[in-house]
Amino acid sequence: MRVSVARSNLFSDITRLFISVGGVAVAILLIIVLLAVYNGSLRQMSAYVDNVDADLWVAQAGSPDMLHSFSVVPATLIGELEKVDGVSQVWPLTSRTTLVDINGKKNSLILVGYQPGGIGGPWKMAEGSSEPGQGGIVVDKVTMKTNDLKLGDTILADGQTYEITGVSEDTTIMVAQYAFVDIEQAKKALGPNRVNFILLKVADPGQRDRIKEEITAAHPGQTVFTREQFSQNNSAVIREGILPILAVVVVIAFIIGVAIVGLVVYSATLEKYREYGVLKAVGASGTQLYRIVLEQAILSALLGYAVGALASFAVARIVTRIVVQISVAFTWQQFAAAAVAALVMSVLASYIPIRKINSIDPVIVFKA
Amino acid sequence: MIHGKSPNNMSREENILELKSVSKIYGSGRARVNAVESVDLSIARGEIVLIMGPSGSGKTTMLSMAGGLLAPTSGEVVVAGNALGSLTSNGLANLRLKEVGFVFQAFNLLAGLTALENVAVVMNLAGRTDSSVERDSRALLDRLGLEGRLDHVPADLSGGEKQRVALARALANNPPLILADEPTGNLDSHSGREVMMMLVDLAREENKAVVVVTHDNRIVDIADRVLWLEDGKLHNEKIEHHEKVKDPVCGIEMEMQDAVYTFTREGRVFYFDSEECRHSFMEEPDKYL
Repeated sequence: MRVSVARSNLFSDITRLFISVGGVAVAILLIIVLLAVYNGSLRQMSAYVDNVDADLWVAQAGSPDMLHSFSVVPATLIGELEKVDGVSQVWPLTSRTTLVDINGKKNSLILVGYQPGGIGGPWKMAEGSSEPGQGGIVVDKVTMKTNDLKLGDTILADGQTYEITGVSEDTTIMVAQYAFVDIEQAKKALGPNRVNFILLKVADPGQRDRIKEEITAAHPGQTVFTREQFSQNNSAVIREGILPILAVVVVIAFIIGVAIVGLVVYSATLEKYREYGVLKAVGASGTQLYRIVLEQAILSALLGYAVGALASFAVARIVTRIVVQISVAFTWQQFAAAAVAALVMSVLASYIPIRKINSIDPVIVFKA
Repeated sequence: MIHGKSPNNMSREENILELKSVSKIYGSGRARVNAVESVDLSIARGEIVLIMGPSGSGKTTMLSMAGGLLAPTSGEVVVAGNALGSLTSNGLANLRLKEVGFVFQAFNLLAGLTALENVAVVMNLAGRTDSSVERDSRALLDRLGLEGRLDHVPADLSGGEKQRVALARALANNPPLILADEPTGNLDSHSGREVMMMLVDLAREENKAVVVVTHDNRIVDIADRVLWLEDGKLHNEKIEHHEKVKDPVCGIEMEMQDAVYTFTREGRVFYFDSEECRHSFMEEPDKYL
């Protein structure tokens, strides 16, 4: 039989227990949801590159990704690249971020032009056809929802009117949504002999790096990226731009968690001050008393963690329904990190109560 | 000063508690108080000793030192052969856990734990967590007549029951020495008598050394020794003070032995008729010096 004084202390006051568990749960919830939003944003940023079945991306030198700069590649290069040993397919791609007026509302669209039957088009459809065809456009579900659009409606983009023929999914980033059109129509805005990127497929994946080096050497005005490199470059904007801000918020959430558990455990310690004195008087060692405080803090943190972790699913669902541009992605690493944070919270939160216990004079037990 | 020797010519080795020239001084200069002065005392197994005396005479200070809760200013305390001055704080805690059982006036049970858990937790502190803890805790409480109250928290127990739980807790690790501070102070006369008789039984039947600080005269006749502590000094018998003294605050004249409180400062002894008078004195002593 093992008697848990910590559990008894914690559960003896339901209000305090509620505050303690609730405080940790809010901190954990914030940490998990923020990490999930961060992870979701990273995935959004690289989703297009990850889902387009190209082994190599050829871009204008100095254009590391699809969002930071405008890459212009001569269309004549397509023929030259087709002749490179080991290249099995070559596909042109245009990609231009443009402001589109839909029903008087400004929308930022990444207008992608791709060759019918080729690569670069939408990979997941909600409805309609994935091939826009001449005069057609495939828009993202978020664009449809935020503008109250339906199939067959028209959009004016880059001076051309497009009819919505399909609705794609998972083709949104926080600041803009992808839209897909026939490359020949997209070129009207760009100019006939230019594309933005050239996508290559190689016959033998083992030859990919050799081909990349060969093209780079032959065409110094272009940069060739592997799919992984280009994916990383596209998500860098989130990693480098948002991560520091996110880290600050996560640290604040962590500090709030420590403060709440610390205050609750401290108040419980003060309330049980005499009882700690009694335990000290009857022979509890300092280590045994510290263990009681620590166990109390760990119990609070673990209960708070469980509540916070479960609530994070519900909160994420609500957030993504309200702000449709946001995507959340949960990973086990986030939950592991939050669990570690909860445990560290409890250890830090125990520090001041333990100091208080250290100062208890057991002679107080003789005071009636 | 007297030497409180054991009555049965017990050898030094059989003494469970020894106080050797133990003194405790609080403060310094004008605020110096000699709470306990050069007390020598030996208590053997099987012996029950009452320590009586007026409030403020140093009884609790002496008991605290005997239990290793307070370090003496000078002298030596030996419990079960261990000189307390040579022990580390962990060593002292371990000694209190295994060699000393405390019974307090205010019971001092843990409010969130049941009677059974209050006893078991002390066994846990001693490193026992197996099923024998529950069995032994139940047995102790049964023996003290609490078989139907094991799952009750202190708030649901009467004063007498609380003190019996406290007694069971004191016995949890089977210590040879029991130190009780006013164990009947918060009990009605019937419960008080029961608790006192249980303490006597512990000494007689379980061969434990029992020291009881008390104002309760009910077991004076059956105690092995009754010692009188006054002004920090231990005496074999109550000192009758028929000379007249005057409360410095309230101005009431009384026989010295009738004073409710005494206080010694700068070699002068002050006598008080009530707590209120003593309290006023302690707030502004210079006014009355």
